[in-house]
Amino acid sequence: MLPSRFQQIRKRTIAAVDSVFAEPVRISFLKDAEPDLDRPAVEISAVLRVGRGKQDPVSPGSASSKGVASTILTSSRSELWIDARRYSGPKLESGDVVTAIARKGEPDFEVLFVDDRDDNRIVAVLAEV
Amino acid sequence: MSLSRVALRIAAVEALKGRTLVGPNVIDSPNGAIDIHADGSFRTAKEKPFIGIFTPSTVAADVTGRSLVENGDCEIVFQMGVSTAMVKRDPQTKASVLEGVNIPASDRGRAFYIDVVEREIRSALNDPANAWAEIFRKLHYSVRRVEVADFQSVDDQRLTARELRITVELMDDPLVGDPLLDGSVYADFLSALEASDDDLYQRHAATLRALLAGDHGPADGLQRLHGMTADELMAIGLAPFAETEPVDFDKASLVVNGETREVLP
Repeated sequence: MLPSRFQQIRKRTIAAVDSVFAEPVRISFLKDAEPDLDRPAVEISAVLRVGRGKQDPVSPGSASSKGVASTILTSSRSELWIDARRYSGPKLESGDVVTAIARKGEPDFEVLFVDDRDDNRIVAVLAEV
Repeated sequence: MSLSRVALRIAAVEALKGRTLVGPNVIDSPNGAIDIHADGSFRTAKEKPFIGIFTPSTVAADVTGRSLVENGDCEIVFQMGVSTAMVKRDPQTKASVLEGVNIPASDRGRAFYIDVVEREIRSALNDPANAWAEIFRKLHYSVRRVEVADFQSVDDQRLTARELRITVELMDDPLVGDPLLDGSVYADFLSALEASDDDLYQRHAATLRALLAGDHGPADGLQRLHGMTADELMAIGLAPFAETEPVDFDKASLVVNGETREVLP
């Protein structure tokens, strides 16, 4: 099938964005929190954007029970945007770990879920780990 | 806040430290966020699976008179949780292991971990060999309800958490001036605070002793206990006689059953 004009433009845009914003990351593939031997780790270049933290109570109460005495945890959502056309590694799953190897301390992130509907981008939504 | 409630909570915290998988990470009424640093640094003791203990509410129904020392039913809440950020991770393979149970930190692994912690809490609180748990048990007459509710995080982190809510019939507070007899739970509690290594507990003990210090006669104690007014005390015949100056007299007479008797000074 011939790619549409839009897809051609997108392909070039993504390549341009990645050339500026992408950074090296290592993806370690896990199954049930153990290393998945069928999917060896890969190192790729992708765009990692880290969100601002927020704090939420740990509580089975309803969403309207603000201020109820409860332990509070912080969390932040980050996203990894991978160029789908150039990615040849194993499929990402929930539970895999992304390590930002070029950042100080080499922080790890855990994949909460993967949004891969888009033809051009695989977006892994990450939790801090 | 009643004294029995703060004693109950402190006794619960101390009774659980070191007795469960979370080890020393038993927190009294956490109010700020537990914040895990994302820079790959070593996890401090606070950034690990935790138990948070609260006493958020107490209801005393059918109170006698105006008593404000009857405590009624008190809820003590134990929140326990483990998020993936709190788990030890192998730096090479990134596999994670839950310490203590030695299983991977998968969803069902974490659920099992929390089940074990809950069981450990229940065992520790009724352990006859646990001195702080003995104080905890003496502070309430009975357990009324035990409720368990699980919680998962929906946004931004993988958290497995549970709330164990125990409603106890809390002991009534002592009154100002009540003697703290040896072997009574308050005496035991204050001694245990004073004997602990924690300087903060020693200061708590000093404050609590000051709050209870004083002296009261028997009628005054009854008045405090039920919140009676002076008129009410008089009406039941327990008011002390008013102190007046002694009167000098030469002769006085007393009428008893119609017969007059003479009284000499």
